[in-house]
Amino acid sequence: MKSYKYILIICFGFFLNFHLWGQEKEASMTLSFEKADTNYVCKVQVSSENKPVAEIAVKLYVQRLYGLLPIGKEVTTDENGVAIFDFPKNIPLNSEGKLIVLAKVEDDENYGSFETQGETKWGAQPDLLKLAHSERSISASRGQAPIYFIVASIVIIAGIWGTLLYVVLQVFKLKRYKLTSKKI
Amino acid sequence: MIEKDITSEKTTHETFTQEEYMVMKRDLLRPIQQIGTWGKVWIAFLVAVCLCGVYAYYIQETKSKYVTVSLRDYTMWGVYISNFVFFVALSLIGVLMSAVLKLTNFQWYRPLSRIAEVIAVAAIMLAGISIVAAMGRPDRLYYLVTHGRIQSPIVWDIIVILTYVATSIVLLFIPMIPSMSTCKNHLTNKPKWQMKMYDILSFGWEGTAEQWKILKKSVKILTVLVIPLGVSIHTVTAWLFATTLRSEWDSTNFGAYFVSGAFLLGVAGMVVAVFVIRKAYKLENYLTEMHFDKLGKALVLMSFIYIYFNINEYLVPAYKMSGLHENHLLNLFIGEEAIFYWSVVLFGMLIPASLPLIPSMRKPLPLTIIAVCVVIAAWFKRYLIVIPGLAHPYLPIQDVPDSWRHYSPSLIEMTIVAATFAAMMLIVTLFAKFFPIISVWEVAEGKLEGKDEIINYK
Repeated sequence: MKSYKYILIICFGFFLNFHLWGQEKEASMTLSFEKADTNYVCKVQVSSENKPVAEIAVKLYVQRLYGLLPIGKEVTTDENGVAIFDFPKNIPLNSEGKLIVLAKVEDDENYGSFETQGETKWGAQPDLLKLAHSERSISASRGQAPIYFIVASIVIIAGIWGTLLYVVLQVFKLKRYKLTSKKI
Repeated sequence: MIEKDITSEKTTHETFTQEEYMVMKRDLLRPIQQIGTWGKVWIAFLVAVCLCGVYAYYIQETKSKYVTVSLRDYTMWGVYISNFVFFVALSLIGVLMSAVLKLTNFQWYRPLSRIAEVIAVAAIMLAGISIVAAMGRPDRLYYLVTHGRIQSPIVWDIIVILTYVATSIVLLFIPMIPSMSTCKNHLTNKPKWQMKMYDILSFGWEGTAEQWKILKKSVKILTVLVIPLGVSIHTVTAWLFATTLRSEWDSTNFGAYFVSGAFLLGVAGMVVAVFVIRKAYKLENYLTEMHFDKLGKALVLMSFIYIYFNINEYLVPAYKMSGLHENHLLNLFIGEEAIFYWSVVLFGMLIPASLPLIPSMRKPLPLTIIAVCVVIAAWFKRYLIVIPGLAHPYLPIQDVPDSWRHYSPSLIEMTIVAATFAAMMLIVTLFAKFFPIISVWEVAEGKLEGKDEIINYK
């Protein structure tokens, strides 16, 4: 009976060992933005227990209004644990003049999923004034409807409502002919 | 004040006496003079259904839409929009029965014109209410006015609906002015306010030559105006769909397709209305079998026109069966909606195109049964135009709850739709309780001018 208990304890010990051994390790990332010649690059440093993590796939995104915009394809870290992304210069900045950049590792077999985020001012400032005063077109804003469209609409609407008004005014004229004419 | 002198046109009044005219007045004022028990029960029933609709709308507006209506990301237009399209189509009845027949010198329109016009006014009002129910929040209508773009078909639709409501009301009202005078002079035992109302609305009508001249001229202007307006309203409604990039609505045929369907529905709606009014108010002498015969023939003509546009709308894309149309069309022809679709083709097009060709089928009862089928099929036709295509967007539907893939209207939605129908019938019923549902002077004038067609038909 006692030997049976020992076997159970040993089995439990093995199970615990395997479990701890199979558990995902913790890792973290840092984002940095650097200018190399005329190009902008975003460097993602992945480390675990203060050691660089190599050969791990990192994805880079920029936060937009309704979702995340992927920046290039995923990049695998080198032996220094660094993944380098070419960062485009033409992404419109948000209302605060910044871009929120996210780096993500997704479902890595050793480290699982984790992410970090940073801010940069690299990007294009949208010219809201230009948007507001863009060319007149069917697809433009309320104030930028084509002139011919506005004129045609007003002519049609005024023509129809004017005719209606004329007819209604005729009804009020009926009373005028009540006694002044000969009754049939 | 016999109508023989209304215009300078030649009349044959010797066969239409003053006594006959008085009998006609009495007959046509009878629905206003007395209201029976069944009439009261009918009105109470309609009011009850309308109140249920108001309560359902209150629930819809005060609780989460996710709970109260079945509309989801994909099927974002449901029965409210199909109901809206149905009522817009029905409102064209006024254009066809009143304006087109009048301008083409057909005389048999005369007892039908006011019935058609009041249905048109009621239908277009309920179309407006349907669209407000679909908007989710009524205040959005205000924002549509203050923030809407003139380039947007939705703004065109609002403008054209308001214009059509106004024109239809004026077109209904102006020919009623002599009738108001008739009511004022001949009705008895009516409350003081009602008599006062007739007095105000008669605008001092005494039937003088100048008054007739003004009235005739005004009616003529409105009659000409209402035809392009009626065609516009349904064409713009079609453009609400056709100007989107969705494949199932991407058709240059859509405006004409909608207008032809509206004329078919208009004739069918007219048959049902004439049958009910004829029976309810015992107006067999005025709404005769001849009218059913004519309406039956009109039903055949309109069905064939509608079939023609349906062939263009469905068979041409089906011949090509391009990827964009394939899902939607196969779903209609052999898929989930096939029974629905083919029932609509059978009852809404093939039966009205063929059965009324047999003279006995143009008698009141058989023709009314056919017309009821057409009206029901017409409502489902709008359902099929609006809803199934939404379930087949360009990008495949993925990773969504199953309820998002299919649409079936909630109890709240169906109650509001039922209430719009009840409200339409209530408007027509109440109108008939306060105003002559058949224009006395127009019928009398018709009897004088077109006696051969009206009296000696067959």
